[in-house]
Amino acid sequence: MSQPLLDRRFLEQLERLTLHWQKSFSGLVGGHNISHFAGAGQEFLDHRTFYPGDDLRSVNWRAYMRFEKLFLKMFQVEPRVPVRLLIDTSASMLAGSSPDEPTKFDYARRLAAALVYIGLVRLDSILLQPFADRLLDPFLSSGGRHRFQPAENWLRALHAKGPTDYFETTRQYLGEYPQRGLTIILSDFLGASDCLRPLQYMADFGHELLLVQLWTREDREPADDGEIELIDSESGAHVRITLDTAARRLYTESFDANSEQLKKLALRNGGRYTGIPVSTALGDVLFGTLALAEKSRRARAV
Amino acid sequence: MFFLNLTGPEFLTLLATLGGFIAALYLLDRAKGRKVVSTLQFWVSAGATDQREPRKRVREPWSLVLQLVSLLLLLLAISRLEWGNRTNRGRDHVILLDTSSWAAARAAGSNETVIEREREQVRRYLNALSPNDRVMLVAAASVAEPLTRFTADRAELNNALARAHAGFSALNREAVIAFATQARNWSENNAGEIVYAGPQITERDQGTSLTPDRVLAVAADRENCGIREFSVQPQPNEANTWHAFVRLKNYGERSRTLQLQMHYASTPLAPRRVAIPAGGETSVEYIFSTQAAGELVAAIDAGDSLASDDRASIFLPRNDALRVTVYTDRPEALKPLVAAGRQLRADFFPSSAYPASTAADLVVLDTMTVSSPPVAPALWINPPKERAPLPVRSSVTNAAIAWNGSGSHPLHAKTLRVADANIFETFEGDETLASVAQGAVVVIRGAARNLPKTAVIGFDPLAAPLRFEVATPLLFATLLDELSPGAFRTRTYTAGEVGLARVVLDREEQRGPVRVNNNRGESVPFTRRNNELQFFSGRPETIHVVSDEKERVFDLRLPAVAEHAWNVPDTTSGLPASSAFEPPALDFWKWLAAAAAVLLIVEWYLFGRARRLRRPALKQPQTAHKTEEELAIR
Repeated sequence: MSQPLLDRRFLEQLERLTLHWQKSFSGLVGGHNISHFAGAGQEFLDHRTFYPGDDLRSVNWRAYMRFEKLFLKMFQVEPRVPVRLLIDTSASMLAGSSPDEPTKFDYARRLAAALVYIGLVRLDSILLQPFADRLLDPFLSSGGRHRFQPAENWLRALHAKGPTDYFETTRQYLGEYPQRGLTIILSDFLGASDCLRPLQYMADFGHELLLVQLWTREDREPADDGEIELIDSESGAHVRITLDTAARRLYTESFDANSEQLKKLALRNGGRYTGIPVSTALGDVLFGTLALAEKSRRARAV
Repeated sequence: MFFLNLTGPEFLTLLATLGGFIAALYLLDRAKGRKVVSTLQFWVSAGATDQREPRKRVREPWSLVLQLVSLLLLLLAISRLEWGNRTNRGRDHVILLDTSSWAAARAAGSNETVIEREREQVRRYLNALSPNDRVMLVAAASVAEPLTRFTADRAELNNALARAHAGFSALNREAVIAFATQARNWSENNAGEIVYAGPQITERDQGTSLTPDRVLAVAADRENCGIREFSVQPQPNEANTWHAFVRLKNYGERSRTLQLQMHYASTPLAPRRVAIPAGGETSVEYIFSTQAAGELVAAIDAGDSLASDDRASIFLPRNDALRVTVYTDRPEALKPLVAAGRQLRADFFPSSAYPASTAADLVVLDTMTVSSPPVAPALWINPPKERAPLPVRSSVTNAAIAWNGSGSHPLHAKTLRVADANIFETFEGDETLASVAQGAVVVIRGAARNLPKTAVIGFDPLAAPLRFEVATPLLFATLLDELSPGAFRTRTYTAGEVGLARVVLDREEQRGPVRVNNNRGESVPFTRRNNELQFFSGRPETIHVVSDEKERVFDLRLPAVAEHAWNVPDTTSGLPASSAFEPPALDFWKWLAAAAAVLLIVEWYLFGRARRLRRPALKQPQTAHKTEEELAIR
């Protein structure tokens, strides 16, 4: 891919967006979302009983004068939360594309580039973490919008190959990044191994999941007819099937059921899910689908 | 049923071959494909996998059946499948419409012409034919001229009938029936009838076995008198005097007395009353003098059915003699040479009178020089050596002259001796007529640039002993003829009949070249056999037969009127009965082709790519949670 992933005009449109997360994370100041954890902020949050070892500067001395008991003032904080972007680079990301639509891998790279730019504009740090059957070498993007070009170059140099192993990937991820934060996963969630349980582990560990499932038209609605031999792009396994209208309908129902399970998993763990056909324009996704998810989150907060 | 030239087994073999080919293509199209997908888990969960051995049955057999049935129908359509008896298929008929000169005559007992009655008979015949029958309409006269191809289109045939008109030639029944027989043999359908429609009058009694299958007789009123020949030629030895010859013929069965009117340039000549016995001929001759050009017309007041042979005309050009201006100081010696023939009109002037204002076609300069060369072709007699029109190489004395017996103007005479002579330098294009041992002494030089044709005699032919030899007038005649071609050529004019013309050549003409041209200068094919020349003209036109001695002008505009009745034995006459042609075989190839097309469309709609186009789009899954209900799942 020699062309830029995103053109300049599109990048300018992205500057009004912000990455949000729903959970309250502890951490240093510098983020955008208010945390329910008390910290060194400016906004008063609550009082609690003083315990030895607490910072005496936060003691409410007026309350002590009245009640002769030590109460500690707690303040709200907007902590800096790590944002990690997991990009699926398995071989299935190249399969199933039609000539009139991009591959899932190309789409994922463009979407990742857009999210990185949104984060850089707000001075967030975003970790780009590719994975397939394990975690691959990451790239940390931070320091403002002028640091976008290295991230884009890194994305353009990515290649998709190999199978997906969500168990191993999750195990490495939880061991590598103990600090909880927002985890955005760009993947087709298709492969030989199960992805639901590893994702559940990740959520249980405290990460907020934003699952972005990408699919092509052929992934969801295969158009073939008759007897056909299907080969798994990752494992090389093949099956011989007879395609007709009923079989295609059953396939699509299974695919949709799998997507529904992913969505339920995300919602159940306080995360978000969005399914995106790669034929959808990237602008529609960023200003439509993902923005709707954010709007819904705010409505729930109210 | 019949399938063109294929028998049933042959047709089935062709069908099986093409059907096998289509089945192979079908199986190839439906062959198992391979495809790389993102995952197999949903196919397994959908229960669509088929791990059994490949099935032996044909998938979507109805698609193959529809294609094979369509192929069968298309083959039958291409084969022009008909239902009925082979003998009832359309037949190919040839109709010979007589367009000879008799077609212009009045039909017997009717005010209509023969050609009109022929058209009516042919139309009735066409109406009696079955619609599948194809007909070729041929105009029959001296040659057969097809007016249409074999066609079942009655409108086309009727249009061709309306365009057909009577011609000027006589019917050559042998040629036209031979053509019709050949055309019928060429046809691909069943052979039909050869039908002749006309008055059954041929140019001669042809003892041929070729006869038509059916005759649509149209009787013509044969009481006709006409001009068969009309010719004019100049009287020998009498300038501007013509001899006209008219030959009249009575084709009828009653004697007739006619009045022959002659006009020349609108001036009537003395009419003649001519009695012609039945079937006989009479000749009338006129001798008249004129210098002016004009049209000589011969006409009879026959008032018969065929008017086209009642009048003939010939255009006579101005019959001028060649104007020769002679500059000489010894006119008495030259007069016998240049003023003896009626074709020449000589004016003599002394050499000092050059140039005279008299218009001349030819100039003779006798032993003299001129300051300016003449503008007309010139004959120089013994010009002075210093100012001769041709360069003089040398002079000789007492030399023997040899005449050139070959070339375009051979001169056959005995060898003579001259006292002295100039020898001329010759160049390419010059023709030597006489020479001595040292070179040419009589030379003809063709016209070049602005110089006219020139002939030079390098000695004095009027000096003794040459003036008493026969070679001298031969030499002058040859030179004059060369300088003015055609001046001595005899012209005859003949108004004749369209068709074959015969010309009897004179003995002098038989060895020489002959050209046959029409008025447009185009060559007309001809044959020469012994002393007879023949050529053919299928339409009225003027033909020139030109030899060295004569020019014959044939104005072939009289109709060639045939005389012999054509009795056709063992031939069906009249129109066929309406029951003569049984209902034709039912030809339903169009329906077969339409059915095949419908089946192919159905196959494409049900099993082809159209099926994908008709597949309804599946509902898109919700791509993000948007409502509180979804969030309540947590």
